[in-house]
Amino acid sequence: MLKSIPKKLKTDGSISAIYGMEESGSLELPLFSARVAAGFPSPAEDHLESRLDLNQHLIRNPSSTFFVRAAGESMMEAGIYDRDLLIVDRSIEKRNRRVVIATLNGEFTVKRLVQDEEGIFLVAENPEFDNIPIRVDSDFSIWGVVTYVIHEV
Amino acid sequence: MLALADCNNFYVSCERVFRPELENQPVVVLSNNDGCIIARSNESKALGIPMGAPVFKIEDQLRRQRVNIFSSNYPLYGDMSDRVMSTFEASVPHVERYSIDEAFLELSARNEAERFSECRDLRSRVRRHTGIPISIGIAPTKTLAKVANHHAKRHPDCGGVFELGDAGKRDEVLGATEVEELWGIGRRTGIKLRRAGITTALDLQRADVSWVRREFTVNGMRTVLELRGEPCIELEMAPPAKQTICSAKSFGQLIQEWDPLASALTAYLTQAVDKLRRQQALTSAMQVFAHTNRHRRDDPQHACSVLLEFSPTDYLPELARRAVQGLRPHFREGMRYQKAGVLLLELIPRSQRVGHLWDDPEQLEKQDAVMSVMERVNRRWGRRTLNLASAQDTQQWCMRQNRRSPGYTTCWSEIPVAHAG
Repeated sequence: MLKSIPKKLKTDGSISAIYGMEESGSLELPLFSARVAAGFPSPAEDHLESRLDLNQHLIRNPSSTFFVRAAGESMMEAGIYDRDLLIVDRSIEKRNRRVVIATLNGEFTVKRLVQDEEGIFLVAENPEFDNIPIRVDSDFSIWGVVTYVIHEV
Repeated sequence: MLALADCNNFYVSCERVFRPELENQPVVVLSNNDGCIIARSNESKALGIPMGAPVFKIEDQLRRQRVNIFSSNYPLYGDMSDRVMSTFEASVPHVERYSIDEAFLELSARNEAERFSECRDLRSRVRRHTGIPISIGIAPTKTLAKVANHHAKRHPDCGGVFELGDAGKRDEVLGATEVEELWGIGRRTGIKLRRAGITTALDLQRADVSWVRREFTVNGMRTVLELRGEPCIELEMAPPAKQTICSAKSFGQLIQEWDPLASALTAYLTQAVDKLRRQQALTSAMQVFAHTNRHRRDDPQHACSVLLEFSPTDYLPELARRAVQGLRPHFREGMRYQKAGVLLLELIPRSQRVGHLWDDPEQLEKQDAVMSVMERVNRRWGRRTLNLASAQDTQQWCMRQNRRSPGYTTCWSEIPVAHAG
């Protein structure tokens, strides 16, 4: 199932709608076969539309979107659990309070980016983990912005 | 005006997107089979590591200088290339994808200042969206755009964008460009030009056009006119469909027996047929070949090749049977083969299949169904999931790729991991 950040579906027990989903990116459009149909034409023929495509919903900018696997539990309260799949868009503006993929000392890390009067921090969303202050001499950069989490239930 | 946008040290840059700690570190990428160096970071260039150097000759140097070494990871480079090209296509009206890491762009801006900021924006957009650094050369012709790009790369103070616009600047840069560095000037043409006293691009630009045409054909003349700012080589938006498809590779180790050679041949053919079907074409002739390593002077040498003709098809099992049976009689026991391959010829669009009287349409439909299923399975679960059994014996011929990076963007089990700890 899908959860968007911030957690919308998580606390609420009810489900507002269910859509049929296309599970893969390659749409198989129903084309007409070479054989001539002998029976009645399908009444749905004039209304053929492609099935819903999850890619369309989750990926705004295909050329700047990457998939990243989360490892660890420091972002649980943002809805990111160990082994979850993250959808990361590099083209999105790296604004304050976004959940980002940052590189810190050569390692990818997922955290919330927070900038306030005390400086820049990579903030964990789990009280058991410390926030990481970014110092001037830190080997640090923001790699991309997390847009969705895919979590198996 | 045209621009040539070129990715800086492209293969190295692809590796660095997912290994940010390698920024500012010396990095090289090796050719298939880890044979020689085909891409270098600026730091590696500064260490004096030569392009094309065979790895075994400079292994000590690489170790001593702590150079980071990668086997080539073409699935990754292909995907990153597509991302860069798509970003170009979303930004400017016309794009010619020229190679895996270069594209010619048609710029809409009217004056130099506007063009400069357009290209600056594009450069930072590509960097932000894909992580790949690029350089852009702007000029009225393709040949000059190449020169401008080269200049942009060599002079970091340009900030990655350089326009070869007014005549004064153009002459200065062309005077500093060796004639062999020009687009379309090969090694032999270079030697001939030097003998005639033409050593720089500026000399060639000022050469007599009719003399150049006489000595170097119409292609040489085009280069001269392009250097003068007259466009002769058009932007090609849709590359023409390939007339032949080749798939040939050196083996990971030399092969002396028929079975592994047949298996390698089938695997290369599988790739060729994949390309054939993707461009919706059929083939009606193919050349199949194998040869020993010419550089091993002490080994007995043998090269065999056979040309096969048949009615147009794209059915892999049939082509594989023909290729293997066709080459079998020419294979010599005990020779140490280094390379094999297939060349698909006489390509026609699928829509032009002319049915023979004795073709069984039902049979053709079945064959097509088999190929479609195979493609769907392989697209979904990865290449070579479903394969001809004869291509499975991979031990001896499979490429050596000991230092290959993960398929960060092409394989679910190898995507990057971000620590939340």
